[in-house]
Amino acid sequence: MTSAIDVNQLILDIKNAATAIIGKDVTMVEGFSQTQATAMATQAAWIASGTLSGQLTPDLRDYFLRNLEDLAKNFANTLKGLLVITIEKVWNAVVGVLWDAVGKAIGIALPSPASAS
Amino acid sequence: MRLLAKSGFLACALFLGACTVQLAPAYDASVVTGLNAANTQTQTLFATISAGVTPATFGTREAQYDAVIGQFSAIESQLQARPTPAPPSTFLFDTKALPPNDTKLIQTLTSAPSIDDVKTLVETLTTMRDTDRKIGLPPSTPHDCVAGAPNPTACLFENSYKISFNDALTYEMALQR
Repeated sequence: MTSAIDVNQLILDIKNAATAIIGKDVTMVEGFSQTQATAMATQAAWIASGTLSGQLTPDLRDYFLRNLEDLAKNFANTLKGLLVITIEKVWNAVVGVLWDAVGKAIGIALPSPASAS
Repeated sequence: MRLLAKSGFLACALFLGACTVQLAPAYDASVVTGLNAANTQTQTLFATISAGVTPATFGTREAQYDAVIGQFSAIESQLQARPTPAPPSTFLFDTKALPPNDTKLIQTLTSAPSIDDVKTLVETLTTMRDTDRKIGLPPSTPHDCVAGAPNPTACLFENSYKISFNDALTYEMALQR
C-alpha cells in the first residue's frame, strides 16, 4: 500500500524532529554551561584572594592562571563537541523522516540508512 | 517499466543512505565506567586531604595519588586510540558563505574534546601531588572553600579537577545518542 507524500505534513514532521532534539540538547547545555561558568568564576576569585593574602605562592599562582586558561579553552571545545553531536542527531533525524516518507510513498519498508562518516 | 522502478528505488536507497552522517566518535561505555571509577577514588583522595596535610605525612598518600593519576592516564590513552570520524568537508559549513573563505582556517573537531579535559585533569592531579610532597596542602572542607578564602590552594586543585572531569563526563555521556 502506498500513500502520496503530504509535503506540508512532511515539513511539519521535519521541524518537529529537529525541534525535539534541539530543545532537549539546549536544556542540557544550559545547565552544563551554568555549572562550568560558576566553577571557573570561583577559580578566578580564589586565585585573586590567595594572591592578595600572600598565601598562594607565586609559582602556584602562575600555574593556576595557566590552568584556568586551559580550563576555559577546554570548556569552549566541549561546547563545540556537544554542538557537533546535536548537528549530527538533527541531520540524521531529518534524513530518517524523509526516508520514512519516501518508503511509505513507494510502498516499501526501506531499511534504516547506514551511517557514513 | 518494472526494471526502471527498481533502479529508481535503488538510487533512492543509495542516495538517502549516503545522507546520514557520523560526526563524533561512537559512545564507549567502558570510558564512562572508567571515568566514574577513577572519580570515586579521586573523591576519596580529596576527602583524605580535606582537613589539611603536611609533607611529613605525604608518604601515606603517595600511592593514592599515583593510582588516580595512573587511572586517568590510561583513560587518556584509551581516548586517543579511539577513532574520530572525519566530518564531510562540505557538511558542516558553507565555506563560500561563511568567513573565513579559506577552509583550512575553519576549525573542525579532529579529536574528542575529552582528551584535552583528561590531559588537563592529569596535570592538575600531578601538580597537586608535587605540591603536597613539597609544602603540604591547607584545609579544603566546604567551610574553607568559600569566597575570599585566604589560602585556597587545595580548593583550587579540587575545583580545577571538577571542571575538567565535568567537561569530560558530559561529552562522553552525550555520545550516547
